[in-house]
Amino acid sequence: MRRNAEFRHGCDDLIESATPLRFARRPLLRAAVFGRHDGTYRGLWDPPAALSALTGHVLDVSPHIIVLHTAGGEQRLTLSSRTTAWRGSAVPPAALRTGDLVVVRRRSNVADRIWAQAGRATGTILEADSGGLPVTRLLVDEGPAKGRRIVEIGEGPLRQIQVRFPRLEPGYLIDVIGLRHDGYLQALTPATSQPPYRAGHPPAPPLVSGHISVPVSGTAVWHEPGEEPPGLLGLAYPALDPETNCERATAPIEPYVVDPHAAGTGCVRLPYLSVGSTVRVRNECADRSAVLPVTSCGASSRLFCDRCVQCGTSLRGRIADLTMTAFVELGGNLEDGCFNATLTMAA
Amino acid sequence: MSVAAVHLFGEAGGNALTAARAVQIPVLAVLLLGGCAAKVRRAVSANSVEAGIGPTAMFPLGLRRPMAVALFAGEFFLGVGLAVTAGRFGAGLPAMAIRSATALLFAMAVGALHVLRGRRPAAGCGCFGDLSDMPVGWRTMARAVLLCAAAVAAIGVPALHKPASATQALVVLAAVAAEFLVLAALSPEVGEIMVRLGYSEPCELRRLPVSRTLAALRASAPWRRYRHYLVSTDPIDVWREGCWRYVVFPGLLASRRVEVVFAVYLKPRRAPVRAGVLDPTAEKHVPAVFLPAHAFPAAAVPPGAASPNVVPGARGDTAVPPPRRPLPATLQVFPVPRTFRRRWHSADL
Repeated sequence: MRRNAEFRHGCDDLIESATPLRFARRPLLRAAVFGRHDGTYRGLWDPPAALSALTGHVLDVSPHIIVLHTAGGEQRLTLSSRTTAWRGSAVPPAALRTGDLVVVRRRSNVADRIWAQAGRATGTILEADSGGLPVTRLLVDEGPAKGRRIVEIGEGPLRQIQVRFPRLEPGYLIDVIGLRHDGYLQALTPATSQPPYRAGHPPAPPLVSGHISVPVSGTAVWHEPGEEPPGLLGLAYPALDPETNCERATAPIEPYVVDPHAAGTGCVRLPYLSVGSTVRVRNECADRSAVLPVTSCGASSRLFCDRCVQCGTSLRGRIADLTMTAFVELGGNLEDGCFNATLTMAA
Repeated sequence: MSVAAVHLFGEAGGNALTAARAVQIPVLAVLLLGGCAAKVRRAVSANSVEAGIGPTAMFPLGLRRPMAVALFAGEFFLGVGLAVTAGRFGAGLPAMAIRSATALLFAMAVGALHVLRGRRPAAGCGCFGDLSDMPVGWRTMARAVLLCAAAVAAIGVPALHKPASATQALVVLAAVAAEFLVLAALSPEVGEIMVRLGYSEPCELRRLPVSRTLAALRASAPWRRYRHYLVSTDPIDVWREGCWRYVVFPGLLASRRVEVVFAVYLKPRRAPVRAGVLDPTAEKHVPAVFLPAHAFPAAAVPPGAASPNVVPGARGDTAVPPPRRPLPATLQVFPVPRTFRRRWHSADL
């Protein structure tokens, strides 16, 4: 018994683990305990196919057709007169370049909206350098999983960003959306308002008695693919079980570096789940919902305690950090940064 | 006789009034030091001096920190000063100065709370640190007014001395108790303390180490029933969903390799346990979403594409993440015929 008390089977991370089969079998195993007795098969949960969101690299753009290279091969989509594209700002679809990573919202085979090279930097500012240069450069720490990022803010966007992020100094949080370049992010719009507290010290959540009232309401945001497959439909869940997932609450050595696992439970109390669990995320603004698997740890969402104002004011706190494809699939616009969301547990 | 009675009554009444005024000094000292300690505790835990104190939000950004520090220092020194000058040491001018400063502090507090209520109705006063997060109401303002009056009443009280008789000691104690009762009635923090004392977390939010789960499992009836079929008592998978934690062991049942899965409820004592058995050969193909990037076919990125998100290391040097381990050849996407053999059943407690 004593040797089993130290059970540690490694990081629950779909990307790191060499046996992702383990995660796919969990619904079967759960059904073995709680399933029905009449012998009907409640098998592996079938992941949702992205109906309206398509992710890939641009192979060719012509006035009426765009050709993408996706995980499922080559795909051609028709461009209509109503198709709009975003590449930092609203651009005509012809301005897309070969090799751009794009997310397309389509209706059957016609592209509706295209986002190219969308990037986002969410985390703690480690260094800020604006001495004399027309461009402000920040070094942003996005958490232990994603590492560090260089963010450059030009003069024009700087004013707009400083309205909502007045403190561009080390130790404070930042969340900006912009254009991805090789090695840095060109920040263009702020994604939210800057929290008044320092990174790593979010306000304490209210006490919850009884059971958590599901559905949980809050904000849903998106993150860049990083090392995930670009077309992955899933979310990074902020409250993974600390005992069996990677919770590294070691004291940081460098100043201003914040370990989100040590920052507490964050602003919203979410039930503990594991990688592979399925949740139903509902976009209150677009009235769409989907059942998505938890694919990674979204602990950095716990540092923020913001509201989304896309359609009315949501409750405080980030409840889901979706992949880009999942965000667009649920009807969100990447340049908005968030939508009001509701989360329920899907067995 | 009547003259003597009036004289005695007058003296007793005067004594009672003086006693009531004298009692304010320790009460005020305790409140000031307690409030300062609670605020310091919150500042330490939030790593920010001006974090929870409501009234500092009314000042411009640059002044908030100095005002918060001034408040901490003022409360601390006035509390200590009141305690020190209560006796014969420092009686006279120093005592009067400190008590006047205390009265001034509470008067400023009344004004600050009033302004805070108007400008930021949702902000808490932060008077007692974490406990004072609720919006400023009439109770908090009344308490501040009462404390200001108490400080004013304490000015000019002669040096405190030990009570002369048992009855006087009882009177003093009763006065202190009555004052604390009145203050508690006016303090929303008392309700907050009661809530925190009686709080128990729902099981979805409870953190419980895996060792406790395994101990509960080994003491349960399903474990005793299925223990003999287990190949190994080391679990091959442990995960949690909400209030249940699942533990999976490899097993051998009727000469077939099976997986025995136990579900343990997350309760500290007498946790219910449920069990199930699964034949691992019977499954559909693995959903593609659970495979990492290099398992996808045609993974070659077309020429000219932006390089994948290169993570810069410290100080800007680009560090490419280490190459992934190749997948074992057996873990591919493969279809399994729909007619499968599978036996499972569920067992209750």
